[in-house]
Amino acid sequence: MMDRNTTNNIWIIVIKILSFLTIFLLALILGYLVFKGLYSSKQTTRTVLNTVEENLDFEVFSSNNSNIKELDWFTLQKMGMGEIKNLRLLTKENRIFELYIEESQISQFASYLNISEEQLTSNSIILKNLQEITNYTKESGKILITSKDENPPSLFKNVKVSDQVLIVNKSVVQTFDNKKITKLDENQISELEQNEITNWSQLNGPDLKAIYLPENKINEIGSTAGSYSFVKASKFNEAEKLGIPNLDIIKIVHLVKGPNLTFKYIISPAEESGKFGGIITIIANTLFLVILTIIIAGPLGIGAAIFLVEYAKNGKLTQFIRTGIDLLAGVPSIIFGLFGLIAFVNFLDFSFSLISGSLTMSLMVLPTIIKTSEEALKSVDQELKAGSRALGATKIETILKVVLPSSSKGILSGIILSIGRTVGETAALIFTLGSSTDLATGLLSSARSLSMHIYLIITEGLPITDAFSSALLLIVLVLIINISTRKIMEKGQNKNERK
Amino acid sequence: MAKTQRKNNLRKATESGSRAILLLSAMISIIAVFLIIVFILGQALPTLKQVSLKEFFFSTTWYPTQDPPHYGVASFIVASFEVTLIALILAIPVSLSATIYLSQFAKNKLAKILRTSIELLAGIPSIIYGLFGLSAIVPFVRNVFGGNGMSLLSAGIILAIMILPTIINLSEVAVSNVSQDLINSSIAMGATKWQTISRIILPAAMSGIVSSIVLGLGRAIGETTAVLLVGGNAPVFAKKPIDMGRTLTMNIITDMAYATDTHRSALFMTGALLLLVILILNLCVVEISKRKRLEK
Repeated sequence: MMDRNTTNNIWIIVIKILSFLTIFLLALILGYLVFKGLYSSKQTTRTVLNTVEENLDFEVFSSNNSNIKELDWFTLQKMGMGEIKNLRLLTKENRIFELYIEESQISQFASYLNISEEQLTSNSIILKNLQEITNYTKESGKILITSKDENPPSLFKNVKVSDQVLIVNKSVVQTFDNKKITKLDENQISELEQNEITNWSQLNGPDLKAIYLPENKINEIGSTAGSYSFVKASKFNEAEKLGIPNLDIIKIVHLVKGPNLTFKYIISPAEESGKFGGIITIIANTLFLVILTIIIAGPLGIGAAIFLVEYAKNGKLTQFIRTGIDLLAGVPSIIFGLFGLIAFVNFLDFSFSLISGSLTMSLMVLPTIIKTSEEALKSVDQELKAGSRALGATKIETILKVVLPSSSKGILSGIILSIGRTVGETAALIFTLGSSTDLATGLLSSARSLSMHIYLIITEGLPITDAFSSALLLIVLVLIINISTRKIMEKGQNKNERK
Repeated sequence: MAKTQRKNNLRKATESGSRAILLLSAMISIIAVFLIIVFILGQALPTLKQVSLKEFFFSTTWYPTQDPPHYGVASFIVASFEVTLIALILAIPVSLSATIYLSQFAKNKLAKILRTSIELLAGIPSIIYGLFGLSAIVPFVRNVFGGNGMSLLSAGIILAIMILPTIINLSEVAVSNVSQDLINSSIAMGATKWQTISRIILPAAMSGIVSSIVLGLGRAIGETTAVLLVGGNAPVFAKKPIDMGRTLTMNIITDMAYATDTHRSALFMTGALLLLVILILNLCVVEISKRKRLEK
């Protein structure tokens, strides 16, 4: 039989390891969320290769108020043709877009874009000299084309331009054996560039010999099965216009890395159900929801606690009330959501609105407020109460002027705890609060809270990086709420101990 | 004189008036529970005109939009219990260890960190757990156990983390209520720490621990958003834990957005079933703690 001391040691070690798993889990979850919230790396598919064009005949600048850091040839062409009026689809910013061109660069730029000078000048603002740019509106997002070796004017920055594309004969992208090359990643492209690919099946494509043709033989690509080349986008565009058949472009997957949650994202209003813009309106609506919930549930909860501590006798009624509170505390949030839907949204006809949401939430947090307030009220010094009564104060006067002030800290911590629950709730609000991202204008306007926003981002298939940036904000809020509750409770305890 | 009299009357009126108001606010909870039951049953019962109770509970075919529609929630019931079971199997050893650690080594610094971690875990919203599960646990399950990753197993893992604080907090109260004399005499008789824990402390705190586990179970069954994001949400019978499945709560939240008529009331029926299970679980806890109070 094993020595009982050894058994003891083994079990103690198991207990320690399992306990610290809890700390590890918390650290893992928080660390993961902070990382994902601050840093985004998402795959995007682009038409052009990642190589930046160094030998342009002109310089491209973008105004500092927009997020444009790099551009591809196709976007530039759209800008030149006047197809981009707003930066929304490009950078998610709701800004008017304007293209400025230095007069001397018109012909070069137009030929670079494969469009006529008339078309270019009719869709852009021509500058006789660079200083004029200061005369134009500051709000719009601008792209500025200047002659080479020009220093960027103030409030402008350099923009990288990519214009290389991978063109192939149509045979390469045809479906073969249920496989099809639709896009390639950067490693695969560099393999292609180094001639390591001899057959397209190496890239999951059809069983076809990969034939590299130089840029000037673009005409032959259309007629040679399995051929490919790296050419300038303008060349491809030209070839398309000339009607060379059987040409196709393979798209490239880029890994875009960068900061995720930015201050700008926090302070800009949400647009079109959160597809664009930021989240400040959602934060504001969350705040309204919290305030309303506390206004409704706070007095009710504290009142119930006062009744239980100061008035209730240990009878059937008290037992009944307590059971009710325990049961309410156990009801899952989805059931509150269903109840809110029938009772507030349909029966009382409040529709999906702030008031329906906060009434539902009030019921949900009521038990929390009652329980914490009850603890706080119980800890009030009995002598203090007796003293007040002895001075002739009635019971309610004693409660209002003596009991409540001296238990305010405990009650406050319960309220803060409820705020945390309201901020984090999703299931109960989906069928009661609505989903509008606009700033609520009244009790009856539909809204969404921050956690609902995360849920809706995921279910509507919007970029998950947005979910992570909102989640980081939410978790920071919740942690602040929890830590401050803890601090308040500790202070209260110290005070009691000193007595 | 008359003035003082009137003032006193006023004070008395305030007194009894305020008592009534306080009583009313104390009654809100029980009234709310009552209304929740009435409203949800009211919406749920019309289901029975179309579907027999037997079909509802024991059929695994959920085709609410087909003609003729089928409303069987058996696979959701099984899935709900499956995820809850997985969650409990994973959560009970960890949470009991943490409880024992907190009670036995309460004074050291690590215990303080452990306590804070548990409180913070309790405060993390379920949508955050869902997001974490979706992007961390789902790939983990996919790589380790195979399958799609979105599975009842993933849902069980995320639920296990979520119910840890519930079980730890309540069972800690039970363990710390075990009389110190009992523990001291066990140690005085030469028992090792583990012997004291396994033969004295745990048996003595058993009823409290059981009720904490029951509450954790209730939370696991009722959880919606977190499991929805990781469970796969396929309305079919999941044969293995690594299959996609749909729990009762997932069924309500997914279909509610577009359900009408019988479909809608079938969802309320699902809700009523959920509510019934949870109310029974909670009544058990209330009973256990009431008996405990009487013993003392």
